[in-house]
Amino acid sequence: MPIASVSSTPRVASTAGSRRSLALRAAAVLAFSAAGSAAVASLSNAYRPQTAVAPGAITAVPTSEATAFGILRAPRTTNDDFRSIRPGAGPLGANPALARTALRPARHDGLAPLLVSVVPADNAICLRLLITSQESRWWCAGMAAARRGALTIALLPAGPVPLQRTRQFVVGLVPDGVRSVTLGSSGGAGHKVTVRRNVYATEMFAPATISFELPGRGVVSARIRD
Amino acid sequence: MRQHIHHFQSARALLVAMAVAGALVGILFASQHASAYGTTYCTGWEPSGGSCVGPSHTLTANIVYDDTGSDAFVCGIAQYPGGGYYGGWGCGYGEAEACYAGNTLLKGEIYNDSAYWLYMNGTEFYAQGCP
Repeated sequence: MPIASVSSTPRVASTAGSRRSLALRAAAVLAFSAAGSAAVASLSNAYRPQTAVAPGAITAVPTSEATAFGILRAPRTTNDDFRSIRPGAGPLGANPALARTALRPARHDGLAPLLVSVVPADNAICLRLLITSQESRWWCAGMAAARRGALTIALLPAGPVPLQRTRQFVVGLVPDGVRSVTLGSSGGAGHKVTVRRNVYATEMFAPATISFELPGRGVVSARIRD
Repeated sequence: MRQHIHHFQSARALLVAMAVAGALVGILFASQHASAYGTTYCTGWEPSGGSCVGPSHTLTANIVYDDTGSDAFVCGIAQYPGGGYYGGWGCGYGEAEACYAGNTLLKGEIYNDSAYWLYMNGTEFYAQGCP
């Protein structure tokens, strides 16, 4: 019995030690496995090739949009490509791969964007403005509004509030048939801006109104920044 | 001997189970980080000329909404946490979206540029595509 009792003590200690060792090994395996799989998953995400169509983006220019906006009927060229700030679909399924360049303003005085693109979306159409290499702006309108020419944007200088009475860069989209728009300022003066590739753009002081002749609907007037 | 074999098999099964569980946890963790993160801020009524600033994030997108559906003129801008502005204001009808590179701590700001009270909100994204 003493022999048994002597031999049983180390066996208990050995079993307890073995369990501790097993628990440690299990924890280590869990940690290494988690870290390894996370690393592999992250790497595979990082090196996954960019697909031509971002998830959620439309795959072709909708016929209704091409019918109303000639710029979307024009063949796409490399001049229409733009580098995404972060790759993906635009708002409302807008597909950058279907974009058309409307304008590359010659002057960059702090308000004018570097590039203005028209991007078709899901039953909507978007204007995408490249502000800097690290910032872009998107505005979209449903097709009903876009056909009325109700997609007007104003870029203003930084400050606590977007002041009305200041210089602004105004850009907008109008459907086929609109050759020019008249932008009125809050001081009453207005000036005519030519439409090119469905887009008008100008820099002016305190824009307040826009008017243009919409084929089949007569003169359309709207307030900007009401 | 059979007890040792049983113990060995149990230990091996435990280690394999741990490895599988670890791999699943790792993949889940990685996929969570690959998906979009966003937060809605400043949901509520804003008077004409009213504005509201969101929290700081390494923004990839800031979206301003006129939730009334009236397509009123709304504006958005981004601020640095310590003050100052990242770029200028962008204003448009109903909604305005800005995309950022996601390498700078910024706070989104919304502004009611219409003549009326608007029910508005802003949404900041900080891990998603934004072309």
